[in-house]
Amino acid sequence: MDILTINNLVFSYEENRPVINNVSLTIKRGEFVSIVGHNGSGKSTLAQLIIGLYEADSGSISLFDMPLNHDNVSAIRSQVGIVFQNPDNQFVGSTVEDDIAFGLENRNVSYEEMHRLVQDFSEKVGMKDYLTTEPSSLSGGQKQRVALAGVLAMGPKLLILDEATSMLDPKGKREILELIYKMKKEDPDLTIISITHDVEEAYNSDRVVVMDHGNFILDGTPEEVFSNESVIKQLKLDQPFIYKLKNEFKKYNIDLGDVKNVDEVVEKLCQ
Amino acid sequence: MSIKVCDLHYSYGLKTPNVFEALHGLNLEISDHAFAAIVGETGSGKTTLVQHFNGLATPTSGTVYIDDFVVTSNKRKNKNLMQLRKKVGLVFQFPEYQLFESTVEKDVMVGPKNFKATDEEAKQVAHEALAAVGIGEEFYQRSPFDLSGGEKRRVAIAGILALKPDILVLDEPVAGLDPNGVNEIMSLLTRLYNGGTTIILVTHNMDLVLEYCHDVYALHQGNLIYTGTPEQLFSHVTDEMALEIPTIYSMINKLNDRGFNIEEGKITNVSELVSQIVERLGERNG
Amino acid sequence: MDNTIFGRYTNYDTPIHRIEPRVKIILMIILIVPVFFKFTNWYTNMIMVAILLIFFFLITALSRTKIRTLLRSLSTMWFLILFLLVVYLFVPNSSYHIVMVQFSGGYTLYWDSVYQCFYIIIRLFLIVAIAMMLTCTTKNTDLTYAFEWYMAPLKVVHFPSHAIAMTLSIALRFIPTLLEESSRILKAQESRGIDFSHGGFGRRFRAIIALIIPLFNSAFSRSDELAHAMEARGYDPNAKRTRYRKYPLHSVDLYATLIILAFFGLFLALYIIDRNNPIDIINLLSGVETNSIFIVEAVEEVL
Repeated sequence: MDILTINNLVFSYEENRPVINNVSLTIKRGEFVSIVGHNGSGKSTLAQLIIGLYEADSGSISLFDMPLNHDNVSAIRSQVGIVFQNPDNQFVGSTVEDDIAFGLENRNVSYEEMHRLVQDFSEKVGMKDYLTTEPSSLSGGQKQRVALAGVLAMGPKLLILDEATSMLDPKGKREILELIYKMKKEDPDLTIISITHDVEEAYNSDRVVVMDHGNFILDGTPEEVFSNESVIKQLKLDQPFIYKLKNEFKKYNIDLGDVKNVDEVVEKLCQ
Repeated sequence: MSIKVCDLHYSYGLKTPNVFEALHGLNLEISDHAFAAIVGETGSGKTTLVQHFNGLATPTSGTVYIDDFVVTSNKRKNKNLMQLRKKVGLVFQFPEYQLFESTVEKDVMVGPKNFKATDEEAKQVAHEALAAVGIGEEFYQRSPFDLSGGEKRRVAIAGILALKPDILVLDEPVAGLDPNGVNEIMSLLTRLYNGGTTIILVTHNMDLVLEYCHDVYALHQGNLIYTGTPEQLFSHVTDEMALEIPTIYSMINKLNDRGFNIEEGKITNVSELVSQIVERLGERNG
Repeated sequence: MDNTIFGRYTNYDTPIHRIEPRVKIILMIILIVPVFFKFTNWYTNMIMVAILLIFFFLITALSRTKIRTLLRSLSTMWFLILFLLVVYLFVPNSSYHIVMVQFSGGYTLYWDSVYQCFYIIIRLFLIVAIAMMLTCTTKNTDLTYAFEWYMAPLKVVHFPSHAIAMTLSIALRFIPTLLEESSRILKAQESRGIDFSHGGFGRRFRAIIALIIPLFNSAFSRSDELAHAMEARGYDPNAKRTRYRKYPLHSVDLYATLIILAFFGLFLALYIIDRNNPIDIINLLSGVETNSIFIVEAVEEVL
């Protein structure tokens, strides 16, 4: 099943200045796709179009084989979870438990079921001890974990992370990422679209789409995308550490071969 | 201008039941024309510390000397705070939230005019400051609220630069920016440093610390736990310090655990690391 | 950052905290009503106020709320109190006749005005403190739930009670966030030499602008993002929603209601009697034939 199909999508906030410039994309069930690009490349706008917060100028979007339109938007949103960038501005409830329950209340989930889900998902994200805590006493990373619990509790087929880690300190960031990798492992069918400008994050996904000025420039596995040095350089994107390492070693005619992370490099060098 | 901090204690919520000591007697010195970083996890007291550097916070006890200026718990002794704020520019986290004037030019002029500059003088320093942050003339008459995130931030920094501070303190100046924006801000800071300004960064971003800073001060729960160069810090980080280290140093530490003997004190980037590794590999094989 | 206008919620588990929010609001209102009962005789009146205060402090003690917290509410009303003092102590009133001090300049301070002033400040304190007791012992969510419940009948006339309750709960949720934000903006502007504590009116006005505009700007962008986040999570103000919280009634609600009603009933009964036939509490208690004028004269003699 295709989770997301985008066809010739065009969108602009102001006339004749398209933010999304005629793009097409298909994402299959269980894929973990990163969309990378600079601020203003249109990647966050794309996320907002996918969940129907804005209406496209032309082209079409369909999710779960349903076209995104006025009649379907509510049914589609019930299967899409999105975590936004700013931890404070998506915390609706007055305490952790109220916030996790917010989406469930909107979906008319029964009282008993709701309490069960809040318990389950607060535990999954490691916030069970904070159920009655108010947001002002939480760190940014903790708030994002609550946001994640809130969207996952609704059992989405598609999870969108809209720069969900960019405002966090390194610890908060690492915790959120580890949590997402864990969720993905537990439920391989969960489709994830991660919008980010962190190339290390992108490197850890299955597929990377590079956006610039409203266009898709590259689309492929992390290896395919990041080995396309000329484009990466031209767009002034960073390279993942492992590629910087490989390239440096190439200057000394040393081929590290197919290494995925620092541990493997160290292992290889020690042989 | 140098900064000397002597036995600095600071508590929030004095005389309330929720009193909380954020700094427990810090002693440190930041030399003239430094490019320093103050690092530590969230809540370690770094932001509180730097607010003493321009007298926004006053110590509960202890003293901060900034050249001839003194900041102590005795508020009457803290004269010339306004002059101090001209010497020590403090750029807050997300400084774009301080913009309020109708045009970019006017907003940057706010600082100088508060320090009694005439309109003409203020305009001139504002233009210099905007040029320094790479904001061109075509922006002068635009509303600061119409700019992109990175542009707003540079205008906000220009607002502080227009005071011509000798010391520039920046709290997480690149938070939320994309790699492009990060490069712009960091090359601006390098230019200012080369022009004689002391730069003090408060940051979580250890890659920046490694690449740009010469001295680093690490705080943990209100105590100073390390002073020295970033390279030394990253090769001796322990778990209790609660610091993330740059990937490059976690690799060096792993290699050294396997007996590679990399001289960590000299490495700030990947090419330096690889050249050392190749050297060591050569020694091993030959 | 202490929120003194609304009492800050304290997370204790006391009988007062456990009272169901809708019940608590009604009981609070019932408790405030006797504050407005003024008894004819001044010392009877004072004694009744004292009883009210004692009863209220018992509730305070039971809820583990600090009296100091409640007293701080008076400090936020200092301007009003000052105004009352001026009006009562310095504005002549023909009904005052018991002289306290006669100043040489021709100004006379009357016992009556001191008494009036004292009485009104005590009443003011009681009203504010009782309302604060409510906010100190009830979570924001529970309060907004109760308000929404009471406003529900207004839906018939298309009054948006749910939207108002949601707005209220979000406003309460964001108060700490915006306070933190304003303190950061304040410091950032101070770093640019904007002086919030000195200077004339024009300077201060400009300083306030430098705080207000960024604060509004950020509040607007926050509300935009929040609206998006809520919409994305399926929120529709007109749709039916289930509730995460249930509010069943417990025995504590019954006992609280009985106690408050009994207290109120007693007060009301005494008040009605007093209306018809002024109660002189000293006579009642001592059984001696004295009257208020006698006591007033005695006081005057001492002075």
